Amino acid sequence: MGPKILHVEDDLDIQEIAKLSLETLGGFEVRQCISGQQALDEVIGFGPDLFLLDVMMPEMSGDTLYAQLKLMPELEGIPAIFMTARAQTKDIIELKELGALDVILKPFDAMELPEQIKSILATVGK
Amino acid sequence: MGKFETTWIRKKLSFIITLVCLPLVGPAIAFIMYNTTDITSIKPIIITATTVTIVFIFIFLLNIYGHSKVNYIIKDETAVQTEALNDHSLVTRTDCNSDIIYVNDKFLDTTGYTKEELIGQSSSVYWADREDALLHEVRTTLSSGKKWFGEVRLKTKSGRIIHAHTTYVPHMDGNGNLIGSIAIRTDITKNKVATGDKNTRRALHILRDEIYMFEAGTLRYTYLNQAAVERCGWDESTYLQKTIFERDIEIDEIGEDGVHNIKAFYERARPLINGEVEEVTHELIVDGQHNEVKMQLVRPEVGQPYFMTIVRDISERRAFDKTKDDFISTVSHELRTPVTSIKGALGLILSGSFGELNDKTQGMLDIAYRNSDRLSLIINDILDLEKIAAGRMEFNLESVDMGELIEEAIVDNAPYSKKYNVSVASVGLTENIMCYCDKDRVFQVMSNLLSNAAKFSRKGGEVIVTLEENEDTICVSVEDFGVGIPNEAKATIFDRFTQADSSDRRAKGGTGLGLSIAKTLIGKQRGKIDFTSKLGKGTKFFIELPKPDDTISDQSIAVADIAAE
Repeated sequence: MGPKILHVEDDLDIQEIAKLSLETLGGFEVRQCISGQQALDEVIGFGPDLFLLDVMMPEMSGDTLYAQLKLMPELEGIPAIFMTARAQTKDIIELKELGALDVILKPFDAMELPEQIKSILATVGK
Repeated sequence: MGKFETTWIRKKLSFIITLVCLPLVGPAIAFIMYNTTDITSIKPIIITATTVTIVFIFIFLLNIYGHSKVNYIIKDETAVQTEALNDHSLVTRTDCNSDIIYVNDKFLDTTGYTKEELIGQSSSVYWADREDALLHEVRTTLSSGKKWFGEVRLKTKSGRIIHAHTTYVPHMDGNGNLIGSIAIRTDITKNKVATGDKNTRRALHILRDEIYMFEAGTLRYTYLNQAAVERCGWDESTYLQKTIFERDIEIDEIGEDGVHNIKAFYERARPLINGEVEEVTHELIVDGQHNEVKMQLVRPEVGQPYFMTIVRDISERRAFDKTKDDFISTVSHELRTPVTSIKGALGLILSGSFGELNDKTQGMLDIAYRNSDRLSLIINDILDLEKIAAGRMEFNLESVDMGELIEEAIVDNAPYSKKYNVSVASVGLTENIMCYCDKDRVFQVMSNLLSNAAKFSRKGGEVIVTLEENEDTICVSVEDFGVGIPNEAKATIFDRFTQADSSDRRAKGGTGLGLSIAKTLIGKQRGKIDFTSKLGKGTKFFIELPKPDDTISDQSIAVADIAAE
């Protein structure tokens, strides 16, 4: 199996498509969580190499979740990529300023998603 | 009857009596001498007659003196009256054709004309514009032999407007024909402006917006309305002694060291002083409240120029903008999420990840996938239009290497060109042809033009992209040799949901919004987009964008949009 991705997404259909894409086409190992809280509960046990975080989620948004993940010393240095349907430039700039490697816009292309993630990871040598 | 008139009549009467009596004295003496033989007996009579004659001559001389003195007084009174009239009034006389035959010095001083410039000219030369109806009324009244009273507006040589209370008196000949007229005017401009100012200020005083007026030269306040006085915490009677720098909020300008400074203020005011703009605007946040600050330079007809600053609380507008932004974000999220699922699911099936598909299934799924793609484009386009309409689209203007941008757009569009079997050639894509624009937005427009050119080319056709550099602008053209645009469709080609042929939308794909968005995006970057087309021969679209200019700072047009609202 390839690198481990913690995918946090509240929409079950998108979860399924992303899982198929990332596992079948990309060869990643994927753990999916439906909420920020679930991600916080499971992240240590899973030990991911990358966070793939939806931004607009009820209860806890992707950026809030990332801020909390960054506070956990055992997760230090793990990169994050946001996925968002909010395509305004200022939203994207704000997300990058939080420390994200990149932002993937929805609707994403399921067939190109694994390659997209690999090329983003390549920019930081992962 | 006045004292002067009584004296004059009495003296006139004695003068007439003297004139009548004097010639009678001589003949009377001669007559008496003729009828009297004893010369000694008439001696007393001669003496008496001589004495009477001398007295009469004396009275006569006295009368002449008195008469000349009265005349002098009369002349003196007339001169005084004329002088008073000339000092007070603007007087002109015109002939029957309304040509000027006399102007007094006061008129010349006030209007700035010289006598030579006016004499012989039509009186309409000093009437203000748009006073034709009044001029006609005056002339009609005078022609009928009547006087005309009223207010008129005159124009000085420099174009300044003068308000004058005017009396026109006609001059008629014996047959009742108008042979000229005299106009006597009182300049009431100052009073009129003062009254106007008073009324305006009464209205301004109760406005919720804060109004600050201050002299352009001294920057000393001349007027603050109630809201402004309250904001500054001053007394209405004391603000007249203060300058704009004595205010503790940064309405006009604040220096780098945190204090207001005069240089920075004039830097902001320069476009107003140079007459380049009507107003300058900036946004100011005080105690968490958004305020819009507008400054204008007022050059009144009378008096010194002054600045007027209007501070408006736009918190509600900003809150509304935020709601709108949130709405756009929510809509885009809600629409894109299901499209992501549909497109993703179809894409994975079509990729063969779950096994081979038979031709019919493949065909149907192709249609579904293509349309999910189209739906996704429509959502993006509609959201773009919504953002543009709301003035919330952001433009990050910067110096962009146009050749590089076009090359990237051609590469990005390669799948489209391949799909329609079209080759793309480029001309003039040299390095360092710089353009001042938002790279992403121009890229979006180029993609639109390139995909259109591919879609509407014939199979195996060619698309030529040309980059040219002008003095202040760069020009990019995208030319195809395809079907062309029919004449009847040319006028609406940049309208929404318009394509040359409505069946094109289905046949060629696309939303019918692309060119409308392209035009708006280019326009927002101070550029132009246009085209030439010949049916059956092809179409050439041009984009013109400004070159980088040192005087334009790298600011977001979205900010300018907010200011312009």
